[in-house]
Amino acid sequence: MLDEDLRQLLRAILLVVGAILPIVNPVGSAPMFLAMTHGADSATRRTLAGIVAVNSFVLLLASLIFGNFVLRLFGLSVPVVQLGGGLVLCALGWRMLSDESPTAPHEAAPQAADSIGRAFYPLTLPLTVDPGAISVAVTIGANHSSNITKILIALAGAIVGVAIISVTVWLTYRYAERVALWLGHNRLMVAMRLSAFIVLCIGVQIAWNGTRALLEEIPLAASSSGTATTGAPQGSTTTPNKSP
Amino acid sequence: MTVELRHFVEGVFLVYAALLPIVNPLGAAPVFLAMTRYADDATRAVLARKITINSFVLLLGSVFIGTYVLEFFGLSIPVVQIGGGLVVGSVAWDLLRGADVSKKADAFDLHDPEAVATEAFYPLTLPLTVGPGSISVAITLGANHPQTVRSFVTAASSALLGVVLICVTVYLCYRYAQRLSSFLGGAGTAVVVRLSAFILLCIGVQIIWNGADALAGITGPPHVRQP
Repeated sequence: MLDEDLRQLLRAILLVVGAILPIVNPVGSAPMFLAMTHGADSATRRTLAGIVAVNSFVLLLASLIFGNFVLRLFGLSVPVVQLGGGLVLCALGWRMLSDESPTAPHEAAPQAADSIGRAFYPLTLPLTVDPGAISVAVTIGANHSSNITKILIALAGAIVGVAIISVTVWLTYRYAERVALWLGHNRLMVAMRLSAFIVLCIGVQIAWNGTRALLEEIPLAASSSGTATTGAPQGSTTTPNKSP
Repeated sequence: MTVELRHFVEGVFLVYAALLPIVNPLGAAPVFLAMTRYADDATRAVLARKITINSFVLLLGSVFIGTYVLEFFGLSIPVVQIGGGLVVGSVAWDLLRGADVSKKADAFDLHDPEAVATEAFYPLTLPLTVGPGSISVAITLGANHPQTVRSFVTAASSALLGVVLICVTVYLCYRYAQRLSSFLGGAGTAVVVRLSAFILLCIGVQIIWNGADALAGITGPPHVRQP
């Protein structure tokens, strides 16, 4: 019995880590983290890496556990969240790409204190835990079972899996600066522009994934509304037939 | 051996012929002139060399590892076309209205080698010389991997030589763009710059549309499905 539970716990952890880690993709977003914290010193970056990891943990765990309820509370669907979040990510990539003076560290230096305030937005929310990751987390958290042991196992699996992801994020962001030092200033600038372009493309991709899911609903909705409009007169004709 | 030599030559021509109309150094040269209009001749020579090296690395990277990079980030080529087309269109829009260029030129410190190097990558290399269209063509060229080691070596070396030829063409066009502008004169250059900015804007719209068309083809047009 315990052996069976343990196996289920392992499976739950693997599901969470395997599904969410490739989308959070800390290795891919580390250059973007560097680009967004450009001009901050290494102590600030270390603090930011810790805060971003904690924020990601809370955000992912909340999406796994409460995501469905929150979406239902506001009457949202996952594709709509993808479309909106994809647009936010596009705007972020656009601003990073057309940033006029990334070479002025003296200008960014006073930003260091206030960059802590940016740890949630834009560093955690659209950059590390992007809308794609949130929608996957909501989808994984969607299948609730009724058995109390199973719920506890799923909860424990979610906590451990999200903790693994957050530790990976923390380690990657913590040591991203060494890669930056190794690259040198000019190549780092190139890497930042490229990653800004990739952020823009990821935003377009997520927005498109949402749009496609929404578009697929349109013919369905048209046909269902068609059946509804053809069904309504039938209903109205059948109810008078029934009532007498 | 002769078969492989023929494959090699064919590969070089394929890469060159596929990339040249899209990289289009002749068309990009007036835009390059316009964006560096306050730079002196020596700076332009440095920029031309840096842009050539950047383009070489970017194109070769797209040919050889482009597919894996897209897979790593979960992207598809049409999405890169839409995102990149937006960037090209935006650069062309700024250039056409001529407002941003002068502002950028004031902030552009020509004696700061770091600023020159940064400027040489974005916007001069990435959306201007090697745009999203070129990147997507390069990725497609590198997408069909041959099976045997010998054919892989043939394909890889022909891709290398083709990209080198493209970059040599880019260098020649950018390096001697100045002569073209002194031949055209001030008013003539202004006209050519505005015209090529407009063409660049249209190229951006075309690339966005190509991507959007490919994406819409995935789901199929809804008006066909409805009846």
